[in-house]
Amino acid sequence: MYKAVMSTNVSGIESSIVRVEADISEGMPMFELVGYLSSEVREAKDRVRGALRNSGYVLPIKRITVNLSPANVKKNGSGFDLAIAIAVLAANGEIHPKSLEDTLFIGELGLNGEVHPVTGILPMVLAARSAGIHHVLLPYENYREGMLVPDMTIHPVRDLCQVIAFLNEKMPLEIPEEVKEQGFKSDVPDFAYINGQQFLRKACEIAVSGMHNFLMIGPPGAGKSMVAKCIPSILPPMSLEEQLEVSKIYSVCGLFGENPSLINKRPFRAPHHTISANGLAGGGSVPHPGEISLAHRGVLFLDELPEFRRETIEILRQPLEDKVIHVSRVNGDFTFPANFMLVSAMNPCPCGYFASADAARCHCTKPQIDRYLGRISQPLLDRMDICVSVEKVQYNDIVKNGGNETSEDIRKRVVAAQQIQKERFAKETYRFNSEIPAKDIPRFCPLGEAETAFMKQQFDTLGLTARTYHKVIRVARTIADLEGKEHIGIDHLMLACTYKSMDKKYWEAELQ
Amino acid sequence: MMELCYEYWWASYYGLTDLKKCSVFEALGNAKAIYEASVLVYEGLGFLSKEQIAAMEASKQPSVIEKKTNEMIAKGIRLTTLSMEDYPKRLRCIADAPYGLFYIGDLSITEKPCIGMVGARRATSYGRTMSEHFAMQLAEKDYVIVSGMARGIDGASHRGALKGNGKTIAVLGGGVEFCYPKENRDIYELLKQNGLILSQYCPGTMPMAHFFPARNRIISGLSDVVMVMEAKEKSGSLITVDFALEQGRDIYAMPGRITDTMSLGCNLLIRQGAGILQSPDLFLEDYLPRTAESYMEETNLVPKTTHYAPRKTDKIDKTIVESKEKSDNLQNFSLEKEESMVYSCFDFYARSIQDVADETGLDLLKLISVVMRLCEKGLIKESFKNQYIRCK
Repeated sequence: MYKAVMSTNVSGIESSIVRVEADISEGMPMFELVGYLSSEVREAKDRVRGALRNSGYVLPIKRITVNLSPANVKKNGSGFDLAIAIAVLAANGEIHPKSLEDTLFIGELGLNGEVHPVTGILPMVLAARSAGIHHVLLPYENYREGMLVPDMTIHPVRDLCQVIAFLNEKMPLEIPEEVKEQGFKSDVPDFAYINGQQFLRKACEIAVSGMHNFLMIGPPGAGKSMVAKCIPSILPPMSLEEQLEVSKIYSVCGLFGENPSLINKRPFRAPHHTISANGLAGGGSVPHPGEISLAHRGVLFLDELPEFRRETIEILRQPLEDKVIHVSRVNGDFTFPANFMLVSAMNPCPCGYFASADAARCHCTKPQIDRYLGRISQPLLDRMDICVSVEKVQYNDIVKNGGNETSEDIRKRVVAAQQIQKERFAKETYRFNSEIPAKDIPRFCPLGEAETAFMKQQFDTLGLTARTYHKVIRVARTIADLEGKEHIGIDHLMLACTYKSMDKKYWEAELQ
Repeated sequence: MMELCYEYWWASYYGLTDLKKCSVFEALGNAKAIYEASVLVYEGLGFLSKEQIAAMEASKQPSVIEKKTNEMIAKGIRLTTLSMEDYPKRLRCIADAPYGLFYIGDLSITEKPCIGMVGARRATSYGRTMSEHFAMQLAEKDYVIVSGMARGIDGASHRGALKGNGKTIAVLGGGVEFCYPKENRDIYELLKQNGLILSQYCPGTMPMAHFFPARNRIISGLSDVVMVMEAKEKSGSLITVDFALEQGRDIYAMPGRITDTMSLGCNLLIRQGAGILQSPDLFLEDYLPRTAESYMEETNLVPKTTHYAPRKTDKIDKTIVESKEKSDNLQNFSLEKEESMVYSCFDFYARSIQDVADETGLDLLKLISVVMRLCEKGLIKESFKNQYIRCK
């Protein structure tokens, strides 16, 4: 007897349909599993056998072959257990074949027959939808995640007996209760709590509006990390398409938690500086998305930038340009989305007081500072569109209570500025000012006569290069958008020049 | 062996202190005599131990000495010693004058009025700007600036002197063929052409931190007067001051704000009676160059009572106040109201944009455009990212 059921395989963050075929024939009694399996799939054989016996079914003493098709795609994960068990039972005539049509099976089995949750449900159910399948049987705990995909009928199951009863007798399934959205207040810090620092606040606003990469330099305790943590509160909302994109990544990584809903807040990832290159970029023999992909459509915050291992941060260079990361492994090439805004913070020297108001406290020697700065390459510094030096907050500002602009106000301006960009780039492949290619700069950022003269002069005085020149123009474009101006003015260019990217020359002048 | 080899041998012999080397030299007359003297003669001097004598004997390797002397000549490095005529006269008068000085450049400038400038390596921009200013003004009036070519004050002083088209001397704490620190390569190359680089250490000696105090005593020894531009409360520059006082040199210190740690040492010196540096012109009013002969006349081996510059409490420094007011007014006339308000917030100490924004209460875009205009006019400059200092 031969029967086939549907299941899915996740590779990277994409999922594809897999046919699980079972054949029971006369011959030497054995249970064989084929189809380019990874070891956790191969172990399914023993879980299925145990689960079936403890649910009251005995495998026939015949030759049982299970094939996962297509056989040229590597199968990973423990989600095939349920499909294998059902295929074997169906081939043995225990399940009505009609009930298997138009249904996808996902779930890991315990030896007692229970169905355990698995990760990556969202891409799996999305794959089912695009393959035209309407019913999905999945673990009870994964029900809410499955329900995130509209137009699908999701059947949550607890154990194997229940699955069989459901398939054969249409026994109704227990649907988990709708968990009420708890009206908890967002714990994201608000810009209203930041006293003083207008210069820095303005920089944040510009950076977020144009999705410009952003670097803060300053002594310890100046509030760099605090400001970075406030950034999520001014990020614009995500479109539904973006929400699904981001949720898929989180689903594969099993980061949905107990109460999954589509991720509707832009991610803010702040990995610790001990992170490995694979942890940042994505890795493993079957690569998992790394922090830069988890920050997709959101913010990646690297605090204490020079403390990261050099080879780790240098990885960022390619995704910062391409907005995706390619990971090549023995099992194939994987591409993860990585379109994020980089926010980073660093001290000017190992002790942190170099060139600050407390400069006299700094005892770092020239070689120490060189070594410290040497961990960040100039190409990486060049990729920072906006760079600002942060000073410690004055006493009067610390004790000041309230009166600051709230994140909500700032966010309104950000949303407005992004709307302008959306309209401007409607026909382009990019969406933000920070992404304007050099060839399109004259088209989108035309400069008047006075502005051109000003930039010509700044080009020499500031020692700009072609790359930094373009960055200044892009940032000025965003500043003008924030003010709702169609043309870039001199004052916009001036502010952009003040925020221009950091150069190691600053340290050299001070150390001479 | 030629004469120079004996001199090279004794100058590059570091087994004895400079004081003992001087005593041996005075007792025996010249390097050749020292070289050729027997163990008995050494013992007869009475102040050399057996080990010291053995070490001296061991160092007498004619082939090695000759080779090194030739290497020195090949590198263009020259040597002057106490037994030679051209040895700097002022330095000859100090108690523990080094026997030999290796140098590149023009040795005769040591006989001009020399001013030593010392200070912190990690100087503030105020310290560096002022050192450059003083050095330039003094160099223009043909005073020679002596310093140590280190980072910070030293480098700024040399640069200032070179800007003023004057002469300047760098005293190194290692072989003169090593440019240390390498950031000051520009100074080093200019000094080779147009100044003097000297060291008591023979060619091939790597610069070492523990050589620097000994180097400092040469700086003060070559100078008539030592200026301390910036020093912390505990600072290497204050060691130089101690040497200078022992050698009977005058001390001047540049005052700073009392809250500024980098000026604490200087302010303390002024409190103790050092001359105050308000402007190059006022300094020159005070300062009378002393000829080397005047030092010669003094008994040079006895530590002298310290001779501080006379303090002029009665005379208020009208010229500088007037000139500053004048220049301030002139500048303010050509500045718009906002520009002059912002300009007045800046100082010779770096201030961040945020600070100035808090003080003036100006809108950020407005403030930045004013700051950029002031930069354009050359009145302020960016000293570090988003920090500005006054230029004028």
